[in-house]
Amino acid sequence: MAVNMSKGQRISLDKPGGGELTMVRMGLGWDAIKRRGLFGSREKEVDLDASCVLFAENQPVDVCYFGQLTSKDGSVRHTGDNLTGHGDGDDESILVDLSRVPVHVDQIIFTVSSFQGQTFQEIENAFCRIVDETTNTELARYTLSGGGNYTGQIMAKLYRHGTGWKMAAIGEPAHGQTLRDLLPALMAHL
Amino acid sequence: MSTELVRGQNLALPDTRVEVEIAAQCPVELVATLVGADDRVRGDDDVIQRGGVDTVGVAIRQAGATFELDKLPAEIERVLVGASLEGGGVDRFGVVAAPVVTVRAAGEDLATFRITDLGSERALHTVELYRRQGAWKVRAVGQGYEAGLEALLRDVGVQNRARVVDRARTALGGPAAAPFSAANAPTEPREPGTVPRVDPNGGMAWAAAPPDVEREAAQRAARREVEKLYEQVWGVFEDAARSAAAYRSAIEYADGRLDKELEGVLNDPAARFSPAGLAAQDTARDRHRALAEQAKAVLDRDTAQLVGEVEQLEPNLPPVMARWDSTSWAGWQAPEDGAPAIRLGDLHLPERPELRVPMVLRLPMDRGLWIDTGATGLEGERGNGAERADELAVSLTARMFAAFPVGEFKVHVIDPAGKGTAAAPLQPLASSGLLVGPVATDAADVSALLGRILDRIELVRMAVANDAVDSLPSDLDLARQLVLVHDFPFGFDDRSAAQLRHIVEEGPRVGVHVIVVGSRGDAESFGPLLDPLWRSLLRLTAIPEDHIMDPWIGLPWVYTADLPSGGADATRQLLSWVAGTNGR
Repeated sequence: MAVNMSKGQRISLDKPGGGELTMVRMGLGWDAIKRRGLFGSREKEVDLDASCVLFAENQPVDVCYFGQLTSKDGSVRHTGDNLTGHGDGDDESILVDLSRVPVHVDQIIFTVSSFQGQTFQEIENAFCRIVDETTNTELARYTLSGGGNYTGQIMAKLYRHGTGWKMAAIGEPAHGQTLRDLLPALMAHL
Repeated sequence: MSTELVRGQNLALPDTRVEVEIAAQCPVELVATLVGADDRVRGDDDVIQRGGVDTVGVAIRQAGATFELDKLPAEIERVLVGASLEGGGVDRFGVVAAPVVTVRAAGEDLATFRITDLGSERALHTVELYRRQGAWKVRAVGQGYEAGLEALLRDVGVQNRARVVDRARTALGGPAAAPFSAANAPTEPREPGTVPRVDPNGGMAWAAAPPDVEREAAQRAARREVEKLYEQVWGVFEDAARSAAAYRSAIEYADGRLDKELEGVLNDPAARFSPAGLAAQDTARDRHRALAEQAKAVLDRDTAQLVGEVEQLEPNLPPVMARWDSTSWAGWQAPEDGAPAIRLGDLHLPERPELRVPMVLRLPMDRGLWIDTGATGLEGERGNGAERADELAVSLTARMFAAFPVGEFKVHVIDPAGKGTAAAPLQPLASSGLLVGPVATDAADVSALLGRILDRIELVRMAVANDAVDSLPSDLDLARQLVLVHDFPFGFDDRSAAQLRHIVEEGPRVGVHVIVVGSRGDAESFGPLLDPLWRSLLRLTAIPEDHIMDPWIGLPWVYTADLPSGGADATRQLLSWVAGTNGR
């Protein structure tokens, strides 16, 4: 059962059925901007970016974003940058193979940022979801549209727990058009 | 716990009461057939479907069936669970998601079977239940018929097939449409032994050539099997790359952390040798060791797993994808279809020498090969690179001969340095009788041959670009061509070198392959003219060297050529097989 998060809510999630999470995907989707008549060309395309930062002992050690589609350690993959939101379903995805995450990495945070600076208030049908890829079940979903005057969102955190992983949904808004901008806000969630 | 079956896999059934269910994105009708040891039904009553005759031990419902195997007559050896989508509005399985078959025994889920890679099939054998030494087993089949349920029934010797097909279509709510409509289906049950007359204008392919349908289905199944092996090899490669990257990343982090922590202690001369300082150093080193050991344990676990997978894969690889010492070569036959991939050698990482990933590339290769005679090899691996380079070139050429159907692969050899007796390394090829024309040895021959190949490339390229393949001259040889250049750039001038460069760049797209044996150092006098040539070739070395980058992480892998241990004899043997098949 997917958890619909509200702003700022934190939930710990175990894999349904009690098994361990092994493959997790963050999907991000939004609608391409609707042109408004004559002066449509003045509108900027909406470009949301899904990113992910890997931490070891509270220090960022690796990233996966549109500029580095595979994390240096090989465990996190990005499906590639979608610049406009054209297409149905998830427009961008980040896939984490938890069994391949190097041993020193203990936390992984997913984020969304609006590269062109439109706030979530202006963007239509934007959502972000975390999926257990092995069973294709949605673990958490967050509706970004109408989400206020923000350009960034700290979505969720995966963290080591015993021999496996757990997930905490964060769903907290932030300001920032790039991953770099969001980094200080991320640190608060470690 | 439920097992995920793959094609061909079988499983013992713990109970004689078995349920089979199929889940698909479109309406599917199950039709079971009971066959004896001869793989034939005893009569049409051995076909069980909804709306048909009742048979003790078998009950068919919508998208499901229950079997009480202990109630079946002793002469029934197998129960084939067929599925048809005719009449349900979808015309082939390839347009919907892979159907999933669930097998339940003793009230518990026993196995699931996802029937992937379906295309134009309209009817399928999903699973079969069969007797083996007094007990029943289930096997995942997952093979189908383009011509639909009719063809499936024909294979097991059902006489009145039209009736079965009509019932299945009706059950799915579809009209009993042509060519199996009520109009041309027999209205009265026929006497056993008569064959239904099929309207020759019915337009069904199976009516014209049923044996081809079966053979094609078998070929497709075999090809899918090989495709799957190819995917598995690449899956191991990718897992090995990611696992090694994770390990290296953890070690790098541990090293960096140790440096930083030691720096903190060592920079303070007072603290350096104080008990607290020494303890801090010990702690830092312990932390480093612990993390490194943890990373190593994960790497060891992954490696053991992958080594096991490779061990399982290797014996199953078809000859062209297998090592030279594989027993599968004994079963080599000239293929009717080109092989999907070819083995170039093995890849491994320095820290994991025991994990040898087969290096198999798709055929036709999208780039030429450069076998570097100037390779220096890794430390401790030095050998006679130049001589082994020739061996590698000849053995790969022999492999390519073995990979393509008879007459669909032609080889030209250019060897200006090999005048007279110097052609020894290429001797197995030269004496095989498989080469097109004599080996080109003088400058004029070389240029003329390259010119002919270039003309062919240009012609085909223009025809393809203008969508006018039909207008190609009828005498044009459409077979794949391989140009093997020995000792490049010996005997080449600016013109012929430029010609070769064009062939290397343009050839692969129109079926012309190139293998260049040579050293980049020897070609320096050509200056930057040849840079694009080297860049567009895949470099191989006859002695192990770490120059192959994986596509996921970009780690450098050590390439080890796979050369026949019997030297040229094995190659000669293979070439003579190929030549023998060619002559036949």
